[in-house]
Amino acid sequence: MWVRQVIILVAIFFIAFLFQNAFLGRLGLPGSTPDLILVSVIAVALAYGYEIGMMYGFAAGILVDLAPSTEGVIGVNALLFMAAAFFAGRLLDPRDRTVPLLIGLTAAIVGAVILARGVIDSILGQPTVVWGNMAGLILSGAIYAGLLTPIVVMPVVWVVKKFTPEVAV
Amino acid sequence: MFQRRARVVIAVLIVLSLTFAILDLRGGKGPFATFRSVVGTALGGVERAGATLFSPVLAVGDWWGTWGDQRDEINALQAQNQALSDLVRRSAEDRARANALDGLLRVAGAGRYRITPAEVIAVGPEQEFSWTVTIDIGTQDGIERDMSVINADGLVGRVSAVHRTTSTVVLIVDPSMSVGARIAGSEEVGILSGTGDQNSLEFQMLNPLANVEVGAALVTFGSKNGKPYAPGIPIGEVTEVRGTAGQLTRVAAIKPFARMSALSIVGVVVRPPRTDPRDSVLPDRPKEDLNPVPAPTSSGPAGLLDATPAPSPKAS
Repeated sequence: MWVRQVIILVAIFFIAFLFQNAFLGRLGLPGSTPDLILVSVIAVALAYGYEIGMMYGFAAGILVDLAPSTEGVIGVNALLFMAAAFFAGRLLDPRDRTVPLLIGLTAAIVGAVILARGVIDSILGQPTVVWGNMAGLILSGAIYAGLLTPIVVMPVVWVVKKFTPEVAV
Repeated sequence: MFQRRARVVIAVLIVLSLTFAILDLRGGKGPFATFRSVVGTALGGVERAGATLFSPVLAVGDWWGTWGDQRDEINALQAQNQALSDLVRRSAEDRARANALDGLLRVAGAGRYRITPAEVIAVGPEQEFSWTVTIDIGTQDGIERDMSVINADGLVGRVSAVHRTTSTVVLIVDPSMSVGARIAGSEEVGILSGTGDQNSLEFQMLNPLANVEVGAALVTFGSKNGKPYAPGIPIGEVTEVRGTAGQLTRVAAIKPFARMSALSIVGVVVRPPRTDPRDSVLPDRPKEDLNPVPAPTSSGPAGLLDATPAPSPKAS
């Protein structure tokens, strides 16, 4: 059971990482880059519950911080992803999850994470934050996350229920 | 049980990430330098693989992204192309104008006409049954009624009306026109009149017994004070002789040298030469069958010398 779960989570992370860095990041879409990894954290939190979601968020955040082409302080994304997983897993009761609600939830969490990252980064002073772009970044990031939700959250939930039904929410 | 353990794990993870952040913030070559480079290398490899995997898809994205740029570039190139072909066309036109002016100068030099160059700016409507053109010079350029208008090939017409900056020219093909003309070499004179056909004029010879050859050239006879026609201007060549010798009127069809349908640069003869240039203005070919007939206006060979083409400095 543990092995399967870990394999699924690692696979989700690497697929999300691949698409995020090698594809979405290079599309040159206006505004922020679609944060597929964060959406995958939210999807895992929705599928497995917030505890496993937070652990996954920690691992994903540390790896994102360590990966090339991010120059932030190590641990910031880990904390943010854990917070995202917490809220994603706790805010909505599993019984009244509908697609529009999930889309709204994901968009709101991603927007909040972008804002929180801006606040933390400007406090730490590590990457210089340009606040003038912040509204556009939050808006575009939330819209992209909302668009990604149906094609990420549903498959993750389906895979989790199919291969590890005993731990699925 | 699982719940509590998970909570402990999460608390540890939060503390861990805060510790990481603090350690990383201390800067320098912290404990993360090697860790970061190892993980970075591994994930960088994954990114490289992903880049290879997605590059065909991204090429499509690039194509989309540059769609607008390409359209702009196409527009820019089309505009440039247009400008360049305009330039080519204009330079061809400029060359043609230069040639026309050269020819005009040659004619004016040969006949020692003083001319004012002009450009045809309008052509009278054909349905009014008169063959007229408008040129872009008028009274302020010293143009007067009844001056001859020539171009590089020969006689074009005469000025029929003068305004301040424009003048109207009646072409020799106009049916109302008649010009006193002389066959170069043979001294046969007659009246040339327009027929309304731009390729043919009618030449009525005064001497019905005159022998006229096809291909002979006609020049103007000249009027008093050079108005309306200065003497010696080439008009055209005989293409056909109708009627036999001895008939009361013999008519020759004349094809004008100047192409009436393609007039652009013309010259108005503002002062005719002091002496009749005789046949010296004619193009080279008819000059060969020139008879050395003494000119009636001058005496002896001196008059002939006078009539030779211009550039001799002892002129005038």
